[in-house]
Amino acid sequence: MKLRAVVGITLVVAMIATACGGDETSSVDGVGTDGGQAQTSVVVAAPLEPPTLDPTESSAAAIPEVLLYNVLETLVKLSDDGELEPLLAESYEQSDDGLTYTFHLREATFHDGSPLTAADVVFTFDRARAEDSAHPFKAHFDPVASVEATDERTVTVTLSSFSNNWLFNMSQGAGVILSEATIGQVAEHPVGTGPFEFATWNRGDSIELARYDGYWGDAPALQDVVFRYIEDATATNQALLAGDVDIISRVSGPELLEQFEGNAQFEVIDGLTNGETILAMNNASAVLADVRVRQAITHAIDRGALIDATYAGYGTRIGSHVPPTDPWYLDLTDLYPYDPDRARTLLAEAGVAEGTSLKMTLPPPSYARRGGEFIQGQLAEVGLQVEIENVEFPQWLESTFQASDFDLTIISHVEPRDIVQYGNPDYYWNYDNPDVATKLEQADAAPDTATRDQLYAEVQRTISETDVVNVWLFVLPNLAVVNSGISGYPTNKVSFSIDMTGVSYTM
Amino acid sequence: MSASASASESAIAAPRRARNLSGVIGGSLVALVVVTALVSYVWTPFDAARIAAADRLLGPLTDGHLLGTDPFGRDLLSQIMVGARTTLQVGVIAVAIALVAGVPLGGLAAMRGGWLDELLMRGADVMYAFPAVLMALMFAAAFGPSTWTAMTAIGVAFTPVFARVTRGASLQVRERDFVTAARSYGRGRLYVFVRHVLPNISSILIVQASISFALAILAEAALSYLGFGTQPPTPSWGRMLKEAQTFLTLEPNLAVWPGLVIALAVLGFNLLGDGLRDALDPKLVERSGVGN
Amino acid sequence: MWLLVIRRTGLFLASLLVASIIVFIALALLPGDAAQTVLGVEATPEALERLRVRFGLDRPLIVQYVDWLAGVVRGDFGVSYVSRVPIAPLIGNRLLVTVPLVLLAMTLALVGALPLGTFAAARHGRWESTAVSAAAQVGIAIPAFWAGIMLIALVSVRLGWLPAGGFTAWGRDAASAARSLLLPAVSIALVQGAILTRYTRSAVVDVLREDFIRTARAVGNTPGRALWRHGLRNAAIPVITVLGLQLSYLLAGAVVIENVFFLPGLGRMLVQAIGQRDLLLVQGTVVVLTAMVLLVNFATDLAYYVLDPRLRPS
Repeated sequence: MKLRAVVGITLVVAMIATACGGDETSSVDGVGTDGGQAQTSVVVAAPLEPPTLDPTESSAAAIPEVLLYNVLETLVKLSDDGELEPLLAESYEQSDDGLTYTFHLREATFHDGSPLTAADVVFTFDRARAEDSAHPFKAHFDPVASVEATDERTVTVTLSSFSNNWLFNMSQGAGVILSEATIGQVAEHPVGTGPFEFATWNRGDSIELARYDGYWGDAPALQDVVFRYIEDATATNQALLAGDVDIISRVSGPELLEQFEGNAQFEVIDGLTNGETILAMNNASAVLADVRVRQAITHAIDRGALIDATYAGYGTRIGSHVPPTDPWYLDLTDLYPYDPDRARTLLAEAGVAEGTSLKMTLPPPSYARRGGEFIQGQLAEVGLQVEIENVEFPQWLESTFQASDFDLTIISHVEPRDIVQYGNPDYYWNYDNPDVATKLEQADAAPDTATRDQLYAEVQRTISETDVVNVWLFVLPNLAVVNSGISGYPTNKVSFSIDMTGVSYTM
Repeated sequence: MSASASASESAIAAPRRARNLSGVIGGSLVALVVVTALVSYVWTPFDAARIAAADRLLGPLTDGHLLGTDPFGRDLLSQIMVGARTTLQVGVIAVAIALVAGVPLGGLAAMRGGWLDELLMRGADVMYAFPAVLMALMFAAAFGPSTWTAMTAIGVAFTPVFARVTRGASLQVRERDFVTAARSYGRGRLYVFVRHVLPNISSILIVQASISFALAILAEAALSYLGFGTQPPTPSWGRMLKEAQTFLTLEPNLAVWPGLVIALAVLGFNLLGDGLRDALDPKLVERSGVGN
Repeated sequence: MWLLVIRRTGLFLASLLVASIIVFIALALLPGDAAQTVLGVEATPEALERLRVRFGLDRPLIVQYVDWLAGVVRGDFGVSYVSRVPIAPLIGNRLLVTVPLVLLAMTLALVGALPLGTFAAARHGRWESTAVSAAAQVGIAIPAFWAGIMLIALVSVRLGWLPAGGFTAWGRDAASAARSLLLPAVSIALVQGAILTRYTRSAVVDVLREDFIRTARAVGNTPGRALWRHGLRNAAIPVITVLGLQLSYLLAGAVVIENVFFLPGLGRMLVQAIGQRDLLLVQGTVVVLTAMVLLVNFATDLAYYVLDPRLRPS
């Protein structure tokens, strides 16, 4: 199974799917809307089928891929340029102390015909943050002190402490508004307020959405959207060539893009995501505790070649835990260039014997498995013996992520603005630098963006240049292929959603 | 053969010759795999594990790479040569496990009889019904996927076959005169089994082992293909096929060679088994030739 | 006869019980659990604990097992941890892929193997027979998943005739569904057909040597006619034995081919469920698989009785 057979569960996969910090985004330009025959139905190929359709019960990235913005809506939406814009909230105000948000809801209706009211928002948020909640993103609701319906269409949310990230999080899958009447059926038949309503789910094959005629906003150009689940890269490509699908939403075999590049019938989209793919190092492990060893490992890996070998050259190199799309990005890619001799010298200085063994755990995604094999070969060149342990995702979570029982691992961190994890001494890579933690806290509370960016820049320098916490490999690309008649398909992934609301199709 | 041989004699003799021929072909193929594995210890065209990003996906006969290179620029032929070691190792260990566990159990069932026999044979039935793939997957999940877990799982899965064959053959031998005689001299069951029964059923076990060897190769290839067998950087024919599948549109050549060598190795052991069967003429071999 | 049925049923249930206990214990010992899989990396420890309680994973193992067993006895396989839907329809949905796949493959194998094996037997000792035997030997040695990959390279990638993988639900487009199963079925059939050819050939050769065939020929029947009227029933028994073994092997063994073609079959669901530690789903699938294997074995035995009156217990 390909054995990456492993399923589309949660983050690891999410990593492939991911959100993006945002930069100016261009939409795909099709052949133009006039002159062609408008198609009302589009088939989108995606590699992983959701296990359930309830985003409040599972963190699987495949759920928001289909549902977010298409079927289920949030109060605010993350725009292509990374700004929050109104969605179900027609407008909102934030109090001067930043602790109180007042949302004014639109006149929207759920797909079962019932109107959206403030009570639905209160129900959704209170259910997620309740004492007995097992919401996958319950932590996102931690800052919330109270949620109240001020009137039929006004909701007031009070935070217990200031948080820049709360509203951002509410624009993602955790923030979709559901109704109490239909909550029991979400796993199999989600009911939301979006431009498309859920139609059918042919398990093992596809999920079909249909245009919802009672939508509050502009009606989408498409009548039907079908998400077809084909895990294999070759099979997906064949399906596109045969006309069985119109869009490959996520290219899992980047090497195979060759056949579409330069073909006028198709357009290859090479956009950005927020997934920093790293070789994480356990800073508390005996050998890796020495910064010279971590420097040596960074020197030993030819990251350009790695991107060529594992992602056909499509990834963007990074030198720290910030994607180029974030406002405080610093280009640190050449701090520790590929230099095996320097690596060997550093290892000798650190007293690391030739043939010292390191344990590398690898979760199922192919960037991890293939990248691991590549790095194993490169570290062998400098005298480090890497024992690879391929693990399923639950095991990775337990042994690597929770118990830190590893020396090296490869993972893509897809959460937006996740540099904050370097301030958490208990995080799985065991990096403990109080100075960094303090600066990160100050940055979150910073009153102006200049101060904030300055603090984040200092943190980047410390973690990459001074402390070399991890080896930052590349940012996962958002690779898609669309039929050239398609327009409006987003280039960058600014959220988990495969956002079909603005897509049109002209033959 | 003389010209006076009758028609019917030659009709029977012909397949016998063909059988011997298959033994020879099988033996040669097996020898080829063994020699390749041995040679790989002292010489391969390239270092099988050497990653060279610049030499990615070269076609056959390019820059000294006879069969071309894989997506990491590793030489395909060298990997196949080293992979032969894995294949032989898996066959030897899996069959050894099945022999060491299955033969005593089968012997015990045959020599003791009664409720123990019944219990052991019903146990073998349950193991038979339990999907072998599932067992291998759970082994891999519990102990981590590796060549060793794959070999162990395959060996355990083969154990009931060897137990049944041993039991069946022992029951027949047990009734023969010399065994009855030994028993009447007061020899213990264990002594009789080891001294008298075992030598007489060894030919059956040899043939069974040869055929199981072929099945073990197929099983390891399948498990490694699924990712539950041999792990990188150790080359494995099955895993090479998994990697090749991703590049099928670009380099179908990658998928041809590993599959071909698996088929040749399996063919070799199967033919050798047939040849041995013909030479040793045991009956009762269980050819659960379904393990593919 | 009734005694036999009772005995077989008892063994059947005992086997299921043993298999389910082994799987239950083994799965409980595996590192990682379903709650973590479901909630992912951002889950708070409290949410994980809540979910474990909700799943009943906090109870002693024996209680969990007995609870599950009591459900199964009532025909309730429980709810999947990961999918949050009842398990029975999930399994049923996957059977709609695996069972047609296996049946189609074995039909193709039979259609090829029976005539070929019989032909080879009839030409016993001539070059045609040797050619068929040699081809069968080669077929047996080919890994089915390699055959699948080669077929994809040729039929899907090169010729573009059939999909390279994936499955279209029967309800959405039955013709496409059948098309998705065709290449995988051929991959399986090539190998299983080779095995069947070999057995058919040797079974028919054995029958042709039997006295009653010689007698039939002596009274003026042609060899083909003698075989057709008297021999096939006898030749069928060893062939059916192999067929039964193949069917029971393929129910779970098809997982390899399901992976080559990314088909949503039962075996593939099992692998995924183990990967996600979806304990009850694994349990349910194993019980269904084991039960099907045992039923196939039972059906094979029944076929003996039908074909050979001598085996019937009086």
